Amino acid sequence: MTADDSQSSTSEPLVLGIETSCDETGVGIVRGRTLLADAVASSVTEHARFGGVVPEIASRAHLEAMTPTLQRACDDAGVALSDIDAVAVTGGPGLVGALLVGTSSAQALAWAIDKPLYAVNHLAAHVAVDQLEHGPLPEPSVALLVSGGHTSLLLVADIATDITSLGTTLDDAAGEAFDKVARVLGLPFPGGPEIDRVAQDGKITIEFPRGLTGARDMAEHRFDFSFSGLKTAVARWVEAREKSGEPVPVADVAAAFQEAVVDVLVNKALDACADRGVDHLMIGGGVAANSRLRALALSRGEAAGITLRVPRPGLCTDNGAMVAALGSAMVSKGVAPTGLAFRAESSLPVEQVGVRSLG
Amino acid sequence: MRLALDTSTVWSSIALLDGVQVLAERDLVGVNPGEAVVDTIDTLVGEVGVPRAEIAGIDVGVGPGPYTSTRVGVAIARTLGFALDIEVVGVCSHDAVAAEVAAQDGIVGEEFIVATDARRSEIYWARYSPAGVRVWGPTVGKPATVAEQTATALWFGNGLDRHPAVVQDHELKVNEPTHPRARWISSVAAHVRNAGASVPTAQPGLADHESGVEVGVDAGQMLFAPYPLYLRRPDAVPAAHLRST
Repeated sequence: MTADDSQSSTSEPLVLGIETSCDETGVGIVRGRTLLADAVASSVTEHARFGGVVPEIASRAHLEAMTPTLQRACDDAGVALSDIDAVAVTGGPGLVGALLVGTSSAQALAWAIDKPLYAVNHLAAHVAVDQLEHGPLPEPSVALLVSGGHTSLLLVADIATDITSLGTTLDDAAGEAFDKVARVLGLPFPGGPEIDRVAQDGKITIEFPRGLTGARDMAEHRFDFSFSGLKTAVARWVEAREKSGEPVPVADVAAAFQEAVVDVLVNKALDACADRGVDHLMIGGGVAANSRLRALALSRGEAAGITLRVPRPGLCTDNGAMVAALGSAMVSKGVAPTGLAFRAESSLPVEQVGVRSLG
Repeated sequence: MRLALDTSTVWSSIALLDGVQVLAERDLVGVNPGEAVVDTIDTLVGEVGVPRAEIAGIDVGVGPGPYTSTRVGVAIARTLGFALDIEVVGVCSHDAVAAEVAAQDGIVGEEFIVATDARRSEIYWARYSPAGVRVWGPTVGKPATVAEQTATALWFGNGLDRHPAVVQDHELKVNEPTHPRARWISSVAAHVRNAGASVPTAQPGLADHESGVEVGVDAGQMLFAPYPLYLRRPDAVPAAHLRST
């Protein structure tokens, strides 16, 4: 993007997005589908020694980081708050105490600058962010969202108004399985990047189970996922190895575990594309940063004639730009704003792209 | 004009004031503050009929109170302060109850306690002189222990609502007001500011909560940075050696 590009599109809405559903305080600013700022403050290091996100620590960190991150986003974008046309905020799903810091701040901001407020779905925002990088999303598309909190297969008919859940995880999220297996292997939190790194030197010699891929499961849970059994299988394998006094081949275990996760994710996503006659697959969420997932989706997608869309890793993890991107899509499509009165919902269903207004 | 709010109890209280004169106020009982407070601010400002830019400052109750609801009010105040570029002053919510008590003629001739619900069978409490000056706290503790350790029988706030046995055993007198109200938050802030106190800008950061040092509050401190008085560290157990099963 050049300065001229952003100048030429000043007629498009300038939207500020706020994200606080987990441990990242994100404030992003977009004009139309052009990314102007993506300021993120993470409390991940505060959680590391607990082996997972501690909700109260995340909430406290959001409150501390909110106004400095708002300021940084405005500075990065070179805009004043008074220039903003609309505010968007993650209304769910997520940790409710964390969400509330974002929604309360967004309500206050939107009211202070007297601009419309859109409370939006975090999962839909993970899909919408791709429009900042690859232009309008072909509709319909299938989207695979994989993160520490979510594993969802979605049919996106209209990014601002019409998303259907095709399948989801029945137990652990994919990223959660990465974190737990990393802990078993003595790798630090968050486990995703660690396993990805370690697995580079590993050989896939161990065959770990692929959840919900058996014939009976495929009849009932064709597009659903399960990673709990896999996680247990890895833990048992490592335990048995330790008991026998042999060293644990960390790289090989990491590679085999990662392959089992990625294999199922890619196969089910491509199966969904085939089933729905869709030729575009979007992958988002923190786990989309995994190099093996990207490589396998690309090669198998090519073979199946499916065009793959994956945002760059920085846009796959939680951020405010994705929320701004979805808010911007809603403004463009004339969706009514949520207003100041709404409820942050920790388990907001993905079909609800916008949070219902209580006003 | 100043905006005042408190969300540190199950009441959310919002007021617009011009000096000591209350222009508009609303108490929201049993409503999740995250759903209604900003909308109510909008309604009140509409009723008074002044532009947003007329708000010269914000006084916010910083608790202590249940984390999530207290944080909502503080988040709203901080962001409004940022967006409108105005001062935000934190006030101990219990001081607002004490100020209302002290303003009621003839009730108080003795020291009293203001206590609010702190969940986990505990209360947030502070002890006040007959004139309503905080002499101890705020702090957090078990109601029976507080009742045993203080000779004070006169209590205000909702702290003992869930502990009728403590009231009975120690023959305590519990009176209204039961909740901090925004107009008194603003009154405390104005009173202290007029006496020349300045608002501290330093706030207890995450590092303080992680250091193992209890985050205590000096009984003499009356104005606070707009940040909740958590008084407890987050519940979390380091899990480095846990094995997934």
